[in-house]
Amino acid sequence: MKVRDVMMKSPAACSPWTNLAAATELMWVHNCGMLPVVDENEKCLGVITDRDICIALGTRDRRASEITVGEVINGKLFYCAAEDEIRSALEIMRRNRVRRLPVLGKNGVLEGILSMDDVVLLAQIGPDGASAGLSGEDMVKTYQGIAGHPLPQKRGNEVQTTKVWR
Amino acid sequence: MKVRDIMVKGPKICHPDTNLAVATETMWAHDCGALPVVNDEYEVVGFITDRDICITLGTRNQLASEVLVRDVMSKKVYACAPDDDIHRALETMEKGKVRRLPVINPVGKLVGLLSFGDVTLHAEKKAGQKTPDLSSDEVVETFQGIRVRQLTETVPQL
Repeated sequence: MKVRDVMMKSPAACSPWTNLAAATELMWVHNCGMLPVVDENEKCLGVITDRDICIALGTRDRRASEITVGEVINGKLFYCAAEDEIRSALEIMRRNRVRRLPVLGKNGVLEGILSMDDVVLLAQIGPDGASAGLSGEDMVKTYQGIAGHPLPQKRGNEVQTTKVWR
Repeated sequence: MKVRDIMVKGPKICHPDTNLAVATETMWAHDCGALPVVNDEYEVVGFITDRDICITLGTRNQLASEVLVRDVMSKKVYACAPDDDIHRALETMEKGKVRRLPVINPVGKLVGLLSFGDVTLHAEKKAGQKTPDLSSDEVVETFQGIRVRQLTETVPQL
């Protein structure tokens, strides 16, 4: 099973200049918790999550319309490709403790989003699971990786304000 | 396997009159995404997540210090008890479409938090047994029940 068999194509996305009010609106309308951040050529620069927005607005005590996505995202980008096997994408999620990956094509252009939720929905339950390509054990192993390792302790005064997009 | 075997004891909490800046600081400092909301008697009166805070502050364009937890929290709270069988707790998660349950003792006080993530860590731990207390299949079935939704395409918006 390949990433392209499961991924959501043409996902909602935002730019570094999108403010947090508009980004939240997108997440609300599309019922999602993560938005890829793309430039004018649809090259993926990073991702922003509902938790990122919560932390930014809660700790900075500023209005959502006054902060841009570019001020919040950091340089980290975990991703996969449409032709990857699902299992290798799950390993990327597991290793980096994320539940969603942007799917990037040539030149880093955004092609879709792979979400753990969508993969789990396809997992086959029962004795035929292994032969069907994706078993319950594959899923749980990934979740164990995401949930299992203690995260480094973080304090509010260590909030990163990384790239400021102008 | 009982809820008490897996739950996190003494979870971080907030109160209905806590403002969202303080609630966020708690979530940030303790690296958690959800807080049970308790009254002075430590009874659970609501539940609030980082997504709730994001959506509220993002759509209302208010300052975090100006909004109280009581105006945002979910008042319908699915919960479980420490001596519940873990399978019953998973059924409650599936029924409520939630991934976390506050654990409430027989006299109504909050004593822990059970999260789906922690449950997965205990799946099939007892290797060698023919029927593990909790199998991978059961865990995945619960998650499928929580997360069932249509796979739809969406239009990119920039």
